[in-house]
Amino acid sequence: MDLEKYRRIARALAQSQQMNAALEERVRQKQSELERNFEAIQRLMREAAVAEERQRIMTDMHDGIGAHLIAALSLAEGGESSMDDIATVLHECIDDLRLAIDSLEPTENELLPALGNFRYRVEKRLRAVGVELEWRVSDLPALPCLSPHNLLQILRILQEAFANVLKHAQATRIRLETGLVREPRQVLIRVSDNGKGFPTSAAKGRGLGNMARRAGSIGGELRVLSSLDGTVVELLLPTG
Amino acid sequence: MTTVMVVEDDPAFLARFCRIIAGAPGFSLVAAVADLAPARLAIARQAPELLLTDLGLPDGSGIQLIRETARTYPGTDIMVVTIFGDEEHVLASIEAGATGYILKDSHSEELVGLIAQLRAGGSPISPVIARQLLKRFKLKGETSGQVPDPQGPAMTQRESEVLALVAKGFSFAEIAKLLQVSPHTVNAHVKKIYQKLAVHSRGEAVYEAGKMGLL
Repeated sequence: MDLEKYRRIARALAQSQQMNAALEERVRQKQSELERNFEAIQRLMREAAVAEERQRIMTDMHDGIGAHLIAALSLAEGGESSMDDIATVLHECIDDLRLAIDSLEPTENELLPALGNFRYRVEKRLRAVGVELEWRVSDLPALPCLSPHNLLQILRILQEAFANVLKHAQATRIRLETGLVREPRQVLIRVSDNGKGFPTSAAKGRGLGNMARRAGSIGGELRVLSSLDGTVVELLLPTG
Repeated sequence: MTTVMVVEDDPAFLARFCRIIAGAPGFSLVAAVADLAPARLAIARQAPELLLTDLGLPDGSGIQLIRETARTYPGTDIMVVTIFGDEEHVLASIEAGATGYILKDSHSEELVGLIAQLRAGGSPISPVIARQLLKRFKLKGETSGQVPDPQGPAMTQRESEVLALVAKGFSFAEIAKLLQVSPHTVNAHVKKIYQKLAVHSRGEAVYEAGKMGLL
């Protein structure tokens, strides 16, 4: 009697061991399946990141160096431009290439060294034409949005703002300020000059639409105010 | 007269630099070469007071030339000629012993201005580079706590203040005003920082070589 009982228990034990082994095997299978899926997802994500980066570089080259080189080429082929004009366009081309390279330098999301480098690049030219640059920057929080691509957009907006002052404003002073704005929390970069300003109808020719588009594309906002006392360009950037 | 030597393998740039130096008052061009080997020979014959060198030379690296010259002729000021002034190349040059850099497309007045500034004791430095230097010194300070420091002198409080302000884009004149010192003092601080970085990396090289059993 007891022997039969033991046999039943032994059979049950053996069965449950088999079942455990089968279950473990299935868990192993599922796990390796999951790992394969995970690897596939990782690979896809890497590929997507590479594709995005490739797209970014293409766009940046197209908008910057490409556009400048084509402008220089058409000046040279037209045969009516002076060497000075062509040299100017080529200088602009090298400037843009430098902005692109600067935007790739490690920033650890800090804006001020990047702005400082921009000043370092641009100041000699300002001095040469007798424009004084007032540097009024204050400490800023780190900007999580400061990827190389976004930084390049910021630098191009500033480059355009400074170029406008030099080309049109007849100013003797440019002031660059930074600050924090509340509700919503944003970082502000303000470029103002003491030049002659411009009527709103003339805004189109000064790349302002392009600047605003660039600002929008990185989640920022551009405000431009011009009066007879000068022009103020404000770039607002998200801190979140 | 400051004696100048130019090492640059692009013939057009070499000719341009030579023309600029020859035309600048107070400077005299003593040698202009395109390769590393003749540069070494020329320096051994007569070390210039100022060496302008490209980094990518046909028969070797300009970094090597900078390192050798800085070690053997500490009286020679060394400036690197670079297309972009990017952080990686400039830092490597400073660590090898250069005290400044100029961009290849600089206008002639800019170029002469930068050289004159360097000779007067100032070392031009860009904000991004300043920030990187600040980070390097900080890292070194943190890691060299217990072990005897094989890396030479640390940066002083004042030097790190100057560097932090440069990293925010302030000019030497503005920094002088903010710290209530003369612009000349700011210049001197920056040059000192350059030298310390070069000493650091030389010290490190010696330390590493010792560890590897090379010394």
